[in-house]
Amino acid sequence: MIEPNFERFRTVLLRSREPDYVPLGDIGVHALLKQGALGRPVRTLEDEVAFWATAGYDYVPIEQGLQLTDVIKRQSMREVQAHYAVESSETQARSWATEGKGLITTRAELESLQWPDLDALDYSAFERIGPLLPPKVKVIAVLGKIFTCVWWLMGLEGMSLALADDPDLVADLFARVGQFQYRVFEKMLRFECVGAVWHADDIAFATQLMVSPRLLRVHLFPWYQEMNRVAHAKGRLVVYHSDGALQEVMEDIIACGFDGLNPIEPKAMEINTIKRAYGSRISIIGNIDLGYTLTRGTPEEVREEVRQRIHDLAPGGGYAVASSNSVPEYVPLANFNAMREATFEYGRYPISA
Amino acid sequence: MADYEALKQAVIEGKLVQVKELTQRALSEGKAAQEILDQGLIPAMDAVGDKFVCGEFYIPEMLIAARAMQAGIALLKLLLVEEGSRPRGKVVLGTVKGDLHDIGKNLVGLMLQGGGFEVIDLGSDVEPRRFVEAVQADKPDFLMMSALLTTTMLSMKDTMEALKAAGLRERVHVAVGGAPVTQRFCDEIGADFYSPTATGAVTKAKELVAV
Repeated sequence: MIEPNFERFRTVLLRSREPDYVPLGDIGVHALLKQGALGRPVRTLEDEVAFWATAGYDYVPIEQGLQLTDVIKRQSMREVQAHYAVESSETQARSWATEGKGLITTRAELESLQWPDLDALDYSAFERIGPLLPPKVKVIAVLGKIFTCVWWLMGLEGMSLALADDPDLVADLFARVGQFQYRVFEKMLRFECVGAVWHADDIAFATQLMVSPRLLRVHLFPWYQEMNRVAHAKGRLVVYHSDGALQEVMEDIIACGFDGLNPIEPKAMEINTIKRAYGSRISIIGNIDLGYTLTRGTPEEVREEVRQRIHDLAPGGGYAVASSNSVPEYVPLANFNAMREATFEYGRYPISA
Repeated sequence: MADYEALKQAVIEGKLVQVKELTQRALSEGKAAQEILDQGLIPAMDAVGDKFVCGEFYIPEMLIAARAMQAGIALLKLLLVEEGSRPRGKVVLGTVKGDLHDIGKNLVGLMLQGGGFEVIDLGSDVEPRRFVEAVQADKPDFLMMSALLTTTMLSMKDTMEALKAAGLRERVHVAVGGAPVTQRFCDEIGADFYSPTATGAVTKAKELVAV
């Protein structure tokens, strides 16, 4: 097994040279897959570390932020039990965002909202994990979710109509959510174990952005630009995750200072085109297809897709293998294992022709 | 004199109050509801759809325009029935079982309504059985299914099987869409068409009812 080493992932993000191996770059793996890969349920922080290290990742992700608080999870989302996993006879719970009218539709509702207490957020995982990490492994702090929490709180339709009816309400909510997440970000950076920050904030779907670039440039990107400036000043690297077609704002994403972009949804962005156009300025992570290959394909098809991506994208560095979103419960374990094993098999530098 | 160009522009700009005023003014001038729909509101939503396709409009602009369009249609609804007007076609749509993703389906529904179709929206988390019941009861021209996840998308295949078992498959055009859906999957389950965009689905539906 290849020894996990955050320097490998860091080298990919810096694009200064080729690392020893192409790293894995998933930021989320469903508990069922973790259990299958580890051979036991993942219940404790020790289990989490064991999973990420033995699965071949160079980091352990730890998430915190407004998106994990009750105002989002209990008040703005709806949970559905269904058979989502392909390899379990039991149902699983999945939370769904409010796409209609959300919790905040008026200024009065914004003003009366009980915001979570920033000081009450739980950072114990960050505090405890240091001694548990393998020697060369770091934590990636997972945050982002500024645009996402705004529309989760307002509902996507609610936010959209408010942009016509009360644009100041939307602007103020962006400011409040941004400020909340910024304070979380500041706290995350105080932990030495954190090697990078991963901002997950979907702004697009398969064919285009969800909202106009102007809205993002006024209300969203300045937050990430500032967070990334501070992260870099403190020696941390930064990755941006968004699904969908980002071509219209690729220059903005790069200007924000992101070192890496994930997950490069295949239906939305052709990864070779993205690498050619932007790969010298931002590293590329992902693209192993969840629409078919990882979910409904065979392990052999997964291996072949990983081999092809490594062949095409890894020479010169700046590429990490990952799914085209996260690794959800409906990926067969054999396919998840095939993705990882193929990465180790084909990802040793120099990359074979 | 009914100003359909102004009505169209008011819809595009999402000016709900102006849309209601212009629609009401046209009715006051004795214009038929069908004419106001055909010459004002439908061309407006066609233009909105074009702007979405070419990247000038995004989700908010679509929904703001659609809200204004619906305000106009609300004034015409009963009159259209009185005039004996028939919709261009009838569509049953829904998001599949286990899936609560709404927005794509809602955009398709709004565009279809703006295109003169009658839309029956079953909502989200719709079991195959409910889709079949709706096809049986409402006799639509189209059944359109949406999904966000690869795992929930598979329920579309179950619905196709259920339609066949109920002897209804040949009575309806089936369309599929959503983030994980591809032409390959559409072909695999025997659906009639797939569109990656809301406007594409409406365009295809218009083509098929014109045949």
